[in-house]
Amino acid sequence: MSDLRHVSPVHMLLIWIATLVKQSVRQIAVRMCLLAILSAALVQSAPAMAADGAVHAFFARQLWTGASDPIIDAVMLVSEGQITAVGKRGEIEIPATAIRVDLPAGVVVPGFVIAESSIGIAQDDERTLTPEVRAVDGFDLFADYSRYLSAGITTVQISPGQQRLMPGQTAVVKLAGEDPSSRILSSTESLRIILSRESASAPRIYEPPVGAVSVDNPLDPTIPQVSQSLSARMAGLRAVFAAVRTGKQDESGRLDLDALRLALKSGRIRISASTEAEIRAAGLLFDEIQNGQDARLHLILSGCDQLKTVLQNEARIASTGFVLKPQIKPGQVSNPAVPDFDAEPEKEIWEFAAELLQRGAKDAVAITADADSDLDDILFLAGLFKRGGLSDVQTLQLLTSNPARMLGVSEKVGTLAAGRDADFVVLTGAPFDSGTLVQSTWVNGRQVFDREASSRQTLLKASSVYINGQHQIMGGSVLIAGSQIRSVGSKVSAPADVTIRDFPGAVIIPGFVDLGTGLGFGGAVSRISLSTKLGDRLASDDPAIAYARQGGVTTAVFAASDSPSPLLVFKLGDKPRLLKEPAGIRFSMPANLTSGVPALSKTLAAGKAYADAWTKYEAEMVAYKKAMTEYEAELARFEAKQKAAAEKAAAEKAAAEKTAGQKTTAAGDGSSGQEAGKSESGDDKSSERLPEKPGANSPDSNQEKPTAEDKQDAAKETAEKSTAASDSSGKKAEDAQNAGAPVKPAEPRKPAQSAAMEPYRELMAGRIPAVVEANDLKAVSAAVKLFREEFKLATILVGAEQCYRLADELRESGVSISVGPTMVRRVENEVINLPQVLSSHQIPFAFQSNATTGVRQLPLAVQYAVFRGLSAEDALDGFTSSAAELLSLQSTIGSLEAGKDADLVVLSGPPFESASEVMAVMIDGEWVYERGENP
Amino acid sequence: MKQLALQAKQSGSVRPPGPAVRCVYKTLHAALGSGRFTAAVLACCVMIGSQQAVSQDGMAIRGATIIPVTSPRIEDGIILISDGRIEAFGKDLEIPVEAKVIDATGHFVMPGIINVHSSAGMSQANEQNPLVPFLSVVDSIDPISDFFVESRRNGVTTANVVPGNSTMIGGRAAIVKTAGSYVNDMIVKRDSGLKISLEPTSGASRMSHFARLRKELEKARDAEEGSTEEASEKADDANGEGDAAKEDEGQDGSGTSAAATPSAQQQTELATREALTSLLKGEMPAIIYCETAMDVAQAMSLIDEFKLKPVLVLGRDCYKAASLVADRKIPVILDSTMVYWRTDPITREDEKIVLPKLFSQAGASFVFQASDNGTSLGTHYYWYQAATAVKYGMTPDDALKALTIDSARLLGIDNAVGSIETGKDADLVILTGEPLDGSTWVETTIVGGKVAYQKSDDVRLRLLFHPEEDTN
Repeated sequence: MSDLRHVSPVHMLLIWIATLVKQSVRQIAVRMCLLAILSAALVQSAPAMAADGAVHAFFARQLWTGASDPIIDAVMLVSEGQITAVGKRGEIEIPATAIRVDLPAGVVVPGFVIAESSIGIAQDDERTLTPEVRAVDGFDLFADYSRYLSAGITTVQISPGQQRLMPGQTAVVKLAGEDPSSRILSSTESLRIILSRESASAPRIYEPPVGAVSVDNPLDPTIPQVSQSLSARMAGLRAVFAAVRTGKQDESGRLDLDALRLALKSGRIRISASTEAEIRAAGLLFDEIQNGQDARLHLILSGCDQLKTVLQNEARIASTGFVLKPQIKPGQVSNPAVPDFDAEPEKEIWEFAAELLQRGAKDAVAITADADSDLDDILFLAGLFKRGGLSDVQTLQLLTSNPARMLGVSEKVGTLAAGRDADFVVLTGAPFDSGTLVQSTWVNGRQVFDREASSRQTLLKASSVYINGQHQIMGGSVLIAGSQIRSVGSKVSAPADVTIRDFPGAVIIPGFVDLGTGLGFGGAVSRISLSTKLGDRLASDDPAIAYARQGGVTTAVFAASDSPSPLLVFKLGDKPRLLKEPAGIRFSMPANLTSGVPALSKTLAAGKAYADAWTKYEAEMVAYKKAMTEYEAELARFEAKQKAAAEKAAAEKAAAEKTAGQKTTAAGDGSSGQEAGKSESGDDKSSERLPEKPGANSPDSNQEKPTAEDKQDAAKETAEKSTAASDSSGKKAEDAQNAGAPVKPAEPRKPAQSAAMEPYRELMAGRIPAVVEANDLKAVSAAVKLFREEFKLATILVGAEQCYRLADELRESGVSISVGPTMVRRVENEVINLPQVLSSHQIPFAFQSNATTGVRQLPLAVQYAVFRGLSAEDALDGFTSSAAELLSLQSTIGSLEAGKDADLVVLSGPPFESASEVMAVMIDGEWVYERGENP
Repeated sequence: MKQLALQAKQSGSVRPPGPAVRCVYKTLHAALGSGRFTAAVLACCVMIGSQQAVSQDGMAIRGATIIPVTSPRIEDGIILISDGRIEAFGKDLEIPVEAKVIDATGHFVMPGIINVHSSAGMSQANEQNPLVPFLSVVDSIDPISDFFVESRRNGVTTANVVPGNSTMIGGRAAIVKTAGSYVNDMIVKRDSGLKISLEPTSGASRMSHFARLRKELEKARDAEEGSTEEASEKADDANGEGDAAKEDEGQDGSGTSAAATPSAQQQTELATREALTSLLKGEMPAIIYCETAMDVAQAMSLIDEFKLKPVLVLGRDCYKAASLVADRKIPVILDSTMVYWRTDPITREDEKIVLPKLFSQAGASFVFQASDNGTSLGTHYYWYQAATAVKYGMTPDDALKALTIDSARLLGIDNAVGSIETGKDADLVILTGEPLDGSTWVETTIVGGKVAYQKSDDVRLRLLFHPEEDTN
């Protein structure tokens, strides 16, 4: 009741509010108008603000304007998103304030314009004649179009549908841009009519549709909208256009005649027709529409694959735009119908294109892909048109200026000329060359796509590639994937987006290996013993390493002066990568050979004893593992046998019990009779329980019968028992049941481990070399005798300056020599070129610098040896593959082969020639040095 | 007796629980039987009814920190209410002897929150028919629905009830107070907007949807232009009817005097045309729902083409078009999901989208919307929405303004509600603490000068915390 009393004041209040609201509404309306004007002004000035009003000067190797031959060494000035000048560098005056943009890939073409697509349009309308539907309404300005932009497409025509007779009005839009409103170039480009078969399958619909107000309309069954035949489709369209002329609506009243009339004002009718009959019908239909119009209409035939009829009609060719759709899916195979061989052979679509261009349809031929998904490859599809005899310029026009003119947007896009939008594409090569890719795409002077090196692959090209000292490939290339070499050859296959580094006139050789350096730890490291682990302590970003590798050494061995001490092999990257530790053991021949050699021999003998103990243990372990497998198999067999025996025994006992039970039942004992009756039911439980019953009689048998659950444990136990039994002889014999159980083999005893001795295992097994410093001849002989002959070690002699005197003996003994840092010396008026002597005697050798930053000069020292007679090939081998072999690292470094580490040096000329300089050094796929750049 | 009981309960026996407990309440709310709720709702109504008599003589709120929103805070202030309006507020005011005094010492008073866009509180949000401008939500508002109870419990005193987002041209919205027994008593503004949805419905493509929408608007515009050119007497007739329709308070039969009674079809067509005409004349705002960013651009073209007076209701993905709305200074209602993760379709990278941040960066002005879906915890509450915005950089004052005066301005009712100002409706919320604090509870909600919610009388809330009391 109290509510009612309050009605009137509330009402009054409402009215008062309403009047106030009305007033404020008017004020707001006025304000809104003002704001609209203001904001419109803002939008106008937006692009200018976005581009900062600055002039950008783009420099390109080639610039294809889309209208004429390419301009070589071109410059293009862009201001406020528009091109202000295009021309040859030097002929165009570049403002001093211009921001210079170098396009290194170098070939600039106009952004591609696609004359027909349905990008961004998800579905067709239900109805078959919808002239009021506009494709522009379905275009999502905010969607991601990078897929098309990455193919160089900047402007597209969009269609409202593909499967209706008259799906509506098409539009022309840009796929990128700052200001949404400027991206719509034309919202009513043409009225689209589809005469081809796609439109024959419109769905059945309810007619009339369920109205806005649910007045009781009995629902009619669905009716087909359009007949399957071409003639019926033509008749339907004729009726529609007749209605436009007379202004008389058909009885359904559903066709939007006003919209159709409006759509015709766009001046373009786009008819999709593929077969000859459809194209002929399209021509007829167009002429009829044209007759009822005051203004001149323009016909665009799209999706044609046969144009013979049209080619007979000169007038038609001159007045029509053609959108050609090659029925090719790039990289896929289809089964076309077998042609009629008696008939005149069908022409390919590019032949038609060429003929159309010849016969006067000069600017009105454009191409598109069969499906939107194939637009990525539009450059490839366009390239096929060169088969028809089209020039590169003409072919490019099919993608640029021609469609722009056809779509009526040539004032803005399609060519690169003053006054046009700065929509362009930077290609990696000439437009239709094999392997040409879109490097970047620009819309209104802004980059909207940039191809990053998506694959980490690099293709190096040079005039010569040395695989090793013995083999070289003239005009070769090296494909590098990640940190490894993928392939080497004169013409290697590579992904299309591979980063190419061309070194014309240069030579690529494997990275050098320095067998003895002081690098790795940023300074001297003293008191190294065999137990020292240095690998974790390699210093990153060491400037000494950065300098040292400039000479071309990519792999270095760290050698301490202590004896014995471990050697380290590592890469000279910014973060040195350890390859092997220990990579060898360094010994020094003592100054006093008489007392020193036996001591050294003792050390080696201790090492050998240690290694032998482990070798023996390993051999025993192999035997033990084999024996264990056999034992386990044996045990399983034994257990199975035992189980079977137990079951058998149980069954026998059960049978005995049964007979006994029967006897007791006969004697009149009720309870035991019940028990027996249960056992007769014969389930597992009773059979398990049965042996317990007579337990009092035979306690031994009870223990022997393991239940199903603990069977495995028991088996283990028995196995252990049996081993224990075999170990201790005095133990009492096991149960008769366990007799015949297999005996577990004894595990071999592990030798004591010592970090200081561990390297000897590798050494004695020949997996790492002994690097022996021997200075005079006697020391050399003693070293050969001790290391090579006595202990049969892989031996590398260091510092053996006079070893040339023992060359023949050395060759026979099989030792290798690490030469350096002095290669050539003058002895008694004779010049001794040690590497040359070794090479001539087929003694394996490598080089070492014994230096830190001096590593950089080692190649120069080797070059001097080459100057003095060593062959460049042998020098290169000694510096790369031989060194890798001496370190047993030939599977990863030492030559340029597929699968090996990408360590290489780019030289300006053949290796070890006076004029050759190091141009670049790569370690593990990374450029660590390039001449002219600061490291 | 009642007063005593109230005081006893206010003295601190019910400890303010945190937000988590409120969530539990929601679950309980859904779980409990309807019978029990009817009783609770009835109790609520009885309470409102009984207190209206008291408010006749005026009311005073004493001791609270007043947050007028449009002016600085007043500590230990007094608000005088008479005839459902704020008579005065400030410090050291003389409280009339006859006024009922609410002692809110230590509490906070702020204007009631305005629910700026909601499809709850009516029987059904959307129509199957895509074109129903002739409908009005007024006909389906249920004053005793949970929506209004819940609104009062959370300090919402005004609600713009709008048809749902899935009808092309939905019905007419209405702004109502959240307390009242009869819809007509609750109405603040009838026909507060016509709902237009740009999200295609019933399987249509965006193009078809938009083409149809434009066609309907063009038809209405052409008809309007035609009618102005036509003879004036006809126009007078139409106006007469229009005025009647606007001002009628449930008297639908005003048009029956005409000689030829129009058919049902004609009547709805007339009502459709009338609603669209009012829309095109700018008398009724267009409440445009945009599902995606591209819809925002489309909405702009509609606004320009038909000179609409717009209010934009944006789906969460519309943030991409934030600069568009900012440039045009169009009032915007954000999606209730204000923070979410989006996965980039190309790079597969996850990106955290924070709507209030993005829109304020773009320079757009916006208000919040709470989700109608009671199961979505957090976003269902305006407090939570405002606090979220504060978390991502909005000042607390701006957040409170968005809840109150900004929303009132957006709806064009800022002369009546949205702040504590002399002469405005006495729609007030008494809070136990700072408005956006997690432990704050609504103590009392006052709608039109009447206590519409009292926490101590909130049976459901009490049952939630003291389930043992629920003996029968």
